[in-house]
Amino acid sequence: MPRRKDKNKNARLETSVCRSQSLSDTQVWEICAAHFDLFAPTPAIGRGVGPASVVFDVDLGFDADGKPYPEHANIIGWYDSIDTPDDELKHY
Amino acid sequence: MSSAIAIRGSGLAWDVDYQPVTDSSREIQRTWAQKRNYLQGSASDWLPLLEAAIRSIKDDCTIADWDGSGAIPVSIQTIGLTAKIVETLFTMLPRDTPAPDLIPEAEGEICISWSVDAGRLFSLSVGAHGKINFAGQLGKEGGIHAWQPIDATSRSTLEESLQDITRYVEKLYASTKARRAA
Repeated sequence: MPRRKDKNKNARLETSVCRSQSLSDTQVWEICAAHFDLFAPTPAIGRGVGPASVVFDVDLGFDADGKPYPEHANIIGWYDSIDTPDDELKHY
Repeated sequence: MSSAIAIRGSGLAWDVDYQPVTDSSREIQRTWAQKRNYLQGSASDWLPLLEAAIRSIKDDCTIADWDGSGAIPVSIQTIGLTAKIVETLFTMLPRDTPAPDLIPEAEGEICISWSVDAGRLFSLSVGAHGKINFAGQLGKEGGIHAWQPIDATSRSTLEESLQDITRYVEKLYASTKARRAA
């Protein structure tokens, strides 16, 4: 699930998420249309929603970078090792 | 060829001690296991569902950037290997094992995942690199993460490669069965 920016092995592992607590359904889908659908082969047909606590519970954290839209954040803190291939890392 | 079957309970079952020796008896045992697990129209009837999921991944995820975030295409080899693994696991797992989810991954792999609850889940990733990466939380038995080579040159070698995976998935559902039985 986590990936590196620009597929650069030196970049950190992160998972892109949208902080949606204060947003309506319509607002979330508008963000999706503007920042996901335009770049994907087909529009999104669904989304997953979860509380931030599930991220903190497993000792991960958030970097609320606000880019490319204010509600954007990355889940960070994934286990990483420069010597381990990424396909193995994702199951740590 | 010699094969042993025993009448047990309401139907036919392989003798638990019987180990097929010849290719033909192995094939018969596999067919038997598949038919045993294929309870048409029931919750155990998940092989056709997964075949449909694999077709869907083939339709949607074999092009570059299929997720809009730079995903690597899922190769035809990976799709074919996943189909073989799913079919083999179907015959190896106990027949009341629920269907796994099949999830295409951005690295061009396919994840096969079982989830009971937050503390009990198991997933493995299949790619075109000759190995499977897997991880699981098995409740009180703790967690596991590892990788292992996979040999899909024949059905027998694939079954050997998947022995550990089968054991982990069985452990995943062991306590559920115990609760049901109590």
